[in-house]
Amino acid sequence: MEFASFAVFFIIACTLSAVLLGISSLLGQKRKAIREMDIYESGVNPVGSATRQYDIKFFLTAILFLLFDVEIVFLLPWAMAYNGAPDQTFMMWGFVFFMAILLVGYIFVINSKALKWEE
Amino acid sequence: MYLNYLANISRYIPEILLVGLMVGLILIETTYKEDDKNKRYIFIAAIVGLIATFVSLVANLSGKPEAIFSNSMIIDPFSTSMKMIMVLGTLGSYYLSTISKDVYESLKTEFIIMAVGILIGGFILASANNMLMIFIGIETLSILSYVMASLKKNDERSSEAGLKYALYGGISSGLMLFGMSHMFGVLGTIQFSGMAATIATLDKAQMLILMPSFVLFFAGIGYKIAAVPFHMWSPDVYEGSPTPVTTLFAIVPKLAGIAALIRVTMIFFATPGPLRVGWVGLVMVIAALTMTVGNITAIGQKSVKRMLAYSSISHAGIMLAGLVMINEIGIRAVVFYAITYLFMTLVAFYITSIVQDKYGNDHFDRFQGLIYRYPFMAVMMTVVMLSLTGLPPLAGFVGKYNIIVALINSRNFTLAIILVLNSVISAYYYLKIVRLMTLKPQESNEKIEGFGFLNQLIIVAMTVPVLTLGIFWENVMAFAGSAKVFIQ
Amino acid sequence: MHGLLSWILWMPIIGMLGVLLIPKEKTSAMKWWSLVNTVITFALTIVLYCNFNQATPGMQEAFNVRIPWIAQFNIFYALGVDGISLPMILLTSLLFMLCILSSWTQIKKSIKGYFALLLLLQSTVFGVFMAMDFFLFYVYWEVMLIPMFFLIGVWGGENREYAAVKFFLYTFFGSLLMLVGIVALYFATGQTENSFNILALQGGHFTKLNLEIFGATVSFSKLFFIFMFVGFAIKVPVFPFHTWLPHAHVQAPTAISVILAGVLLKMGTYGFLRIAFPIFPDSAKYFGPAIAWLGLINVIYGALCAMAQTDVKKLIAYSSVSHMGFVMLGLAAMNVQGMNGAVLQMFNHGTSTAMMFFMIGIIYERSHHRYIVRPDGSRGFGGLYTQLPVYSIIFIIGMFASMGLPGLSGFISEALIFLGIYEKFTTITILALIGLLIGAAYLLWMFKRMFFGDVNPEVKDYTDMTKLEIGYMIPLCITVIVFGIFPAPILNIMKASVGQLVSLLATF
Repeated sequence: MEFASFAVFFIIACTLSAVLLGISSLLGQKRKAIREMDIYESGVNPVGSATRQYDIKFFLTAILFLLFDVEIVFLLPWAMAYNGAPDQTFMMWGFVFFMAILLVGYIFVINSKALKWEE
Repeated sequence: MYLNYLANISRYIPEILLVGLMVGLILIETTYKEDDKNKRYIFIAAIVGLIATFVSLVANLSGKPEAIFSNSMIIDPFSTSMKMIMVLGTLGSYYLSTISKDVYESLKTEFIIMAVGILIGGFILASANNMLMIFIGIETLSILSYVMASLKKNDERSSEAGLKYALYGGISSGLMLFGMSHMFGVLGTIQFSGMAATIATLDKAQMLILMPSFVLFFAGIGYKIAAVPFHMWSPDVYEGSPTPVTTLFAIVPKLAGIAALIRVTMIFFATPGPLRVGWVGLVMVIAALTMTVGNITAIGQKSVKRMLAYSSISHAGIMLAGLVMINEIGIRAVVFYAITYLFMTLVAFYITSIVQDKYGNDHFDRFQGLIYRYPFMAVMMTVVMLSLTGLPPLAGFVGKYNIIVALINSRNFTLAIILVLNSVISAYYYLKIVRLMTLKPQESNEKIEGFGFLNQLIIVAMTVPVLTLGIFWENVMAFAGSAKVFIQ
Repeated sequence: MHGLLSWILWMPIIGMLGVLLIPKEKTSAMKWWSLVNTVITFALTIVLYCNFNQATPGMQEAFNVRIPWIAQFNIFYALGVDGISLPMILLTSLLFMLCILSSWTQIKKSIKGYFALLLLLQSTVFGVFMAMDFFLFYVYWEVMLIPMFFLIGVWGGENREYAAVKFFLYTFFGSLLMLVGIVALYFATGQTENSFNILALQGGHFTKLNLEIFGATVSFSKLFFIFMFVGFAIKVPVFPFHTWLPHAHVQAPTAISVILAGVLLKMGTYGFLRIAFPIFPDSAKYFGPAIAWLGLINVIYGALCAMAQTDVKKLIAYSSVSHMGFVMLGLAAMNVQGMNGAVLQMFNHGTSTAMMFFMIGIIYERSHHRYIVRPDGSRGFGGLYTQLPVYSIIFIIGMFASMGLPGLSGFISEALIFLGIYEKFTTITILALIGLLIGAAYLLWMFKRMFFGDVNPEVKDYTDMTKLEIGYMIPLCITVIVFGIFPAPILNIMKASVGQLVSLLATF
């Protein structure tokens, strides 16, 4: 069937990875793992822990950016479809409605002071 | 073409009302300061908005079924009935949130805003006619649910619930998309009607690919309705979330998922064939497993909310068993069962929430001796527990009876016997609460503030359908029978 | 006359509503109201008896009620009475009236709830005996569990919760199996108007029907007969399913034990007579020997267990198992004498066991224990005969009726049963006679240990029976003695209907 080549590819990929990993684990040198679990800091001895608690406002800003960015991204195909479409008024009002809902969300964000950084 | 869309909007009024309600509530909440007067306005606005939605749904019932928005959603009596049940469930859980201490004072408006959002997601899911709509519905439901599950900000159990729900939901959505993409690949369209037409022309190799993708698709919806083996999130999430949120979870996502499943089943598997045999077998096995696992694990629980979570898993299993028939009798039985399930769940969670608010935990022993302190409430809880077991002359019995009738009509004797045996197993743990309330002496003589006159009245008003639907069920059954699925 | 059955059925509900409306403090008002209510019900059943036509087999046309309830599913509110259910209805109304009198002084807490639940129980039991629609029958069969659960669980003995839960779950399981049978019958008859009509289902229409289950062809009739059998057998109780009985009987308060033994056990055998045998006569004939052997095991096993008991109430509970074994034997005989004997034994056992449980309740009021022999070996009672003469006489009447002494009612029914099974199952007859002997043995031995011998010091303080107690024992004494000498009033009711059933069974 037509999937024969795909099957061969899949089997070779799995076998190759398994063989490589297996042979390297069997034949390779055993090292103590202490040094290699250290955090990499460009040859210098690392200071402090790598994970640190950060303020949630960064995360919040990133998420809100994502939301409004996606809204802008939707603008692009809409603009492409708008060009030369038969019912342009309807299309405009449709998109205005969509933006209005997101505008309400924006008003919510502003009024609940989610973007105020000093407080 | 847009005139067509404008005409369709007239059938889409309930959802538009809900969106307007959500937007309005967001605006009111953020622009006016928080004091009692504004809280009351928000309360009235929310209740009025939900009742208006219910009224517009009733108006929708009388129109003829049609497919709107270029065949992406279907407005038919079946989806409208399920939406009506979902609105009543949201109304019930909203009132519970206003009297419950589990939802913090500052977050009570956010509760209703997100609940309305979940309701919109449920509406989309119930009306969905193509795969994209199902995915949108599930995601709208899920994302807001993740937030609502962790509404108790300072409680670690609540955050754990939200995190578990989010992780589990994310994986399930991914799996479901994977299945859907394969279905699209084989069938060439996301529109259900087109898919059903293409299925008839498939050859064996394509059917072989299609069956696992259907299983993955079922996994996504099964996770929403907490079917076994996709149910592991359910007890932790139900127990950790604030009780009004649990009430919402027990009703809206479950019924929405079952509505979507019914529509998918009726469209794809109406004609006999190897796919139908596979699907029916899958749903039968999952229904049997769900009922049994839900019931057996509920026996050992020490927390009432967790027990109710497991019991709602088993009730979802019973509704899945009603799905197996793929005919109108089965759908009628499931819709009737959903109506009875709504009232029973609401009353059970109301009483649990009020008792939990008083004592801080929902351990079984908090119910001890309730009949001596609040006889009415204990009787209502007893009625609801016995109805959940399936004892005549209560509504739960009639629901189960109709599903047994539908099962035996299509010769599914094994599933009927499993359902019957599960009723006995469930009797054990429902009786545990009844026993503690009525047979044991009371712990203390304290007043439970939540059982004021208004709340008791509301609880009694919600139990009255449980009592009357057990004896005079013909009219509601006729209503359930008119909820036909429109296929286009 | 058409409304008479509905009046009998709903009169206890009116009583229950009245009890619920009376304020909590006025306990004597509640008791008098319940008493008046049950007396009216009893009078109505006497009216029913007088208007009953003893010559017609089958349902009495004059009393039939048939109103559509859920017309879409062919469910009717259908009531009817015939020769088999009339003795049961009479027994129910009599025993409940006496139970109200017995509970007058014995129940001390939550009196309102007790009497309300008791009256609700009476209505549901009437419903089971009168229902002619299968769905209605099932609803009443299940609803009976709710008041029983609370009555045993709240007002019972030390281990009452376990007994109540076990009773509930066991019986619930049996009735659910019956539900599957009911729905299957509904579909087998094609969902017509008569699909739940018990009368229309009777007559063996399903002999040729077969089912395909997992590839094997199973006879519809046999499979669902077994389902119905298990459902009813749990109630009777037949040997493997009897383990709920000792607990429920011992832990329940006196009046509830009387109702349980006197009426509820009869519901199981009534189910056989009304439903399992007429609807599936071919399977009944096929499984007849099995039923007979199970009945025999009931007789012997129940008797031997009773012999070993030290708790008097448990002893009588096991003797109930034994006596219901006799009823099963009579049913298995499937001839005129056997079945008449079985129905008569249902009535007689109701009265004699009721007497025994009442008596035990009376002595428990005084002694607050039920040990014949205490766990440490000392005697619980002794010498009651000299201290409580009136009590002993009535106890003797009850005990001998239970034993089957000629002259008292138990003898007639047991004799008829033996006459019935002798030809078909001779070995079983002989072995059952041994059961009869063991029955006499444990009853007399119990009597000796409790009533004869040296007077136990505690017994000296016991008072003899009060006027109230004598009052409610007298009707049962009269019943037991009169029907032992002259059973015609009861026997004549059932002859026509039982004859019809026997001739139906004979044609298969």
